[in-house]
Amino acid sequence: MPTVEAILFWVFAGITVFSALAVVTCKRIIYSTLSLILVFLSIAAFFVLNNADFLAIAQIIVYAVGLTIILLFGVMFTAERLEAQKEHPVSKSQHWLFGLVCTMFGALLVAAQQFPYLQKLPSATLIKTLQAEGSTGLLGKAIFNQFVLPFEVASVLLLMAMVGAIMIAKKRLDTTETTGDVTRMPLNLASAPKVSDSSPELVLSGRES
Amino acid sequence: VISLAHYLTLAAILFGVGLYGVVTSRNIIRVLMCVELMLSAVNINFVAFNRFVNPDQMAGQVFAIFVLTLSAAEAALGLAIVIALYRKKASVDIENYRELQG
Repeated sequence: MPTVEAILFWVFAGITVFSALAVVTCKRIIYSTLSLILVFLSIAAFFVLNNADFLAIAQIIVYAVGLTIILLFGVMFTAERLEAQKEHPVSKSQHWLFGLVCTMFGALLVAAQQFPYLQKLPSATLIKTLQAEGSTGLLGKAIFNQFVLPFEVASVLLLMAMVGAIMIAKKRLDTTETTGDVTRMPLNLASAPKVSDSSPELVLSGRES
Repeated sequence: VISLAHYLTLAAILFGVGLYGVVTSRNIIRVLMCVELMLSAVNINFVAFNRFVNPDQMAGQVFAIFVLTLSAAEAALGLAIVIALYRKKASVDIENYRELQG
């Protein structure tokens, strides 16, 4: 008779692996974005199984909602006709590299099985706390006592990333010729035979002719 | 009984799938997604180690939160770069981004 945790683990492990494979293999990018949501939700389930309830909710809010919405915006901004191109750009050496990395991971896992972890059972007070109020309070105490400096650094980093993202992504208003007309460019690129070799200046001059 | 090894194996599989996606996909947005997959795999490891090895301290979960923060920042910046590149190249195919090839 498997435990409830085992049943949940295997169910969500299946969901995670299959939808992760769907993210990688789906032809249309929008489908892989949607299955990415499924991956993130099932990872949140693993967090719940591991006594990390705050992290599970944060995972749902940040990843499964926020991040995928940003990604969906990106996908829809860059409406893509890449699906027509069937051939894979993977070279032999990349396959070798990937195989090597997978073998190293397998070896690492086998080695991890041999290594005697200092597995500890939670103390009685911890179990009582977890049952009464979950791990959120403990997590908050850990962040604001032991890890307060990394927390502040992370907040500064988030601010920097936000400002930097706006600066990078916003259209430059003073130089109109470098920005180009986004809505019209794919049309002309479709008629131009060699897109990949042309520099942006060539593309722009081709648009005007 | 689910042990630490189960979670490690699952995270390794997820990381491998993400790595395969990063190596093989042409669409740069899909590359970003696969990077997120790899970061999530690392997060599973952190949380599982926290529970099985040192449950009384919350260090693993705190690190998972930092990974979450970093990956949010990374995704926002990465997507901004993608938008800027798309404006310049009108393509999200990584075959068309050859400036940094050396």
